[in-house]
Amino acid sequence: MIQLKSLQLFLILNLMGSVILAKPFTVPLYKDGIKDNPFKPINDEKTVNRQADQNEKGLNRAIYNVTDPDLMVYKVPKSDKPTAAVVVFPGGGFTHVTIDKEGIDVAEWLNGIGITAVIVKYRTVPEDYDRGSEEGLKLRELIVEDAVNAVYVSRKHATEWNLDVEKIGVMGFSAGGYLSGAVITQMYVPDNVDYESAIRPDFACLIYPGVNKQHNSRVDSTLPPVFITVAADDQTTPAPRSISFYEKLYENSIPAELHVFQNGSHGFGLGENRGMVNSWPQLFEKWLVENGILDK
Amino acid sequence: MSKTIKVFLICLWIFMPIFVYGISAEPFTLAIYSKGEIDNTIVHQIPEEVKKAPSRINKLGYNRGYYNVSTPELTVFPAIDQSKPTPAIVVFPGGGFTHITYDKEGTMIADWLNSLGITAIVVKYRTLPKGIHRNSEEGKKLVLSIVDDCIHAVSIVNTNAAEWNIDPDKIGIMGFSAGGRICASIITQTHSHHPIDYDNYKPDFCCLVYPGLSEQQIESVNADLPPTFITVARDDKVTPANKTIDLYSKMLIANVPSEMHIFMNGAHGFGIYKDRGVVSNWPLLFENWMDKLEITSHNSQGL
Repeated sequence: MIQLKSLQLFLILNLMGSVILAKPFTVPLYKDGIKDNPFKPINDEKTVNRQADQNEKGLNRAIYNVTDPDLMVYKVPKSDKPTAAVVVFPGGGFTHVTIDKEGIDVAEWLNGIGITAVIVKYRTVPEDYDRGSEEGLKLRELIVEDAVNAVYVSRKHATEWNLDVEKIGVMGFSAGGYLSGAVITQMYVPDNVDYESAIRPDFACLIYPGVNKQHNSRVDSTLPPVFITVAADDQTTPAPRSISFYEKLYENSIPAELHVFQNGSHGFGLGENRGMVNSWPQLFEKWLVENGILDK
Repeated sequence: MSKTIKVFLICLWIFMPIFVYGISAEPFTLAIYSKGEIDNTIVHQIPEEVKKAPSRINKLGYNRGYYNVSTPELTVFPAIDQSKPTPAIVVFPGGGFTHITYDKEGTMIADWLNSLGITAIVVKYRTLPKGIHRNSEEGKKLVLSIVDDCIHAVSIVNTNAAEWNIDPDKIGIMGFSAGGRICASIITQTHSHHPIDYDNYKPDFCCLVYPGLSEQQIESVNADLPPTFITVARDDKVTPANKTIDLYSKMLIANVPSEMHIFMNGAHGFGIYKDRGVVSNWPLLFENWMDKLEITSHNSQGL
């Protein structure tokens, strides 16, 4: 009897151990650092916790003035076989990274359905810059490079992180949707890197994405399957932008799905407390099953 | 216990459902036109015929298609709970105007809507005679008569709302394929002649499922359209998704409260089958949408 109890205790402790072991870890995006980094904000990196849309932990943090990009890896706690993975690009209009609502909260949900999440804290246009200026747009090109490199680095670590190399996707919210769109339309490919084997995501999920004509003009039949969702009353990245992008996917016979919810506005994240838009995570999950990324 | 009280109690027990639910929940069928009211544009040389499709059967074991329909009718499937006025949806099945897909896009839909507390009215509209294509000059004219059947059906529901225990502010329409074309025709008011004043049949909401749409309908979208829910599959070869996208884009421009779901797979004619992969999510999305519009409440259980 005592033996059985200690066995139970042993098992429980073991289980707890594996949860503790699955603690997220951070790796730099550029392990050798960035030479002549043109991101030079007056102020240091800073984190602001917003009042709106806080999660259960009371967090909805935005990180500003990022000059040193990194990846936060949220591994599936325990898996005997390689898992699917999603490289997550939070939004923030390129001036900040919405790290909870469109990052950590998303990673925790993905972990719950058996997917490892890699949250990308990409460089941001410094506070003292005009993001729409010529200089700001130049920096945006470098942010696109961060995005592409994030997928490249994730793929490189596939074995180490126990990832199934045929099931590595990207997911982006708002500005992060712009970045995901940039990755799948090959807006940037590093020199001496084979896009097909070293970068190309196996699927993409765009949430109220900031896609535009630049993306649309680059769509061709080589894109991976795409899932898009947006609300009809989005004032920031209006639904017609998603629809135009979807039309290009449609014309190119990409297996793509589009959900335009009547309400939800911009920045709904996983959609909790935003009415019917909260079905999108489940729709996405079923879409992953349909695409053979997740098991039934 | 006295005999009178016993008889009273027995009567009470027997008629209790009527006291509680108001009226009987048995389906009933009505002709859409009274004698002499129907236009005689569609005349079938052969009698009406029912064919049972060999596949895609419903729980009763069949999937009926009605051909050569000369006498349009509607069947009312009352919601189970009649304790207060119920929302209603007038359902137009598909069938390319040559037949009525009566179960898959009719009675099965009614069962589902009933379970949500909604009264369903399934319309068996007239069908085109063999040899007349819906896109031919003659076919187009006859389709207008078919749309008239459906307009009459909606107006009958409006007229009888009180008697049928229907909330007059919650009468919607739903159409599949050719039935979707009928719905689109009604909400965009693109049928050429108006037999009835629009106020008598203007739907409170609309649901288009893999709808067949015309350019004229798409061009005629305006701010007066009722809230609309649209769904279609990307790989639909019969009523391609790009038309649905065009219609929806116009709705966004016109600020029509509306929602669109384009599923990656599902092809044409998926009805509400549960085993069609991603596309089988649409009924739940529609339930959520109706809750949001306060047509129903607390139906949605999540996906």
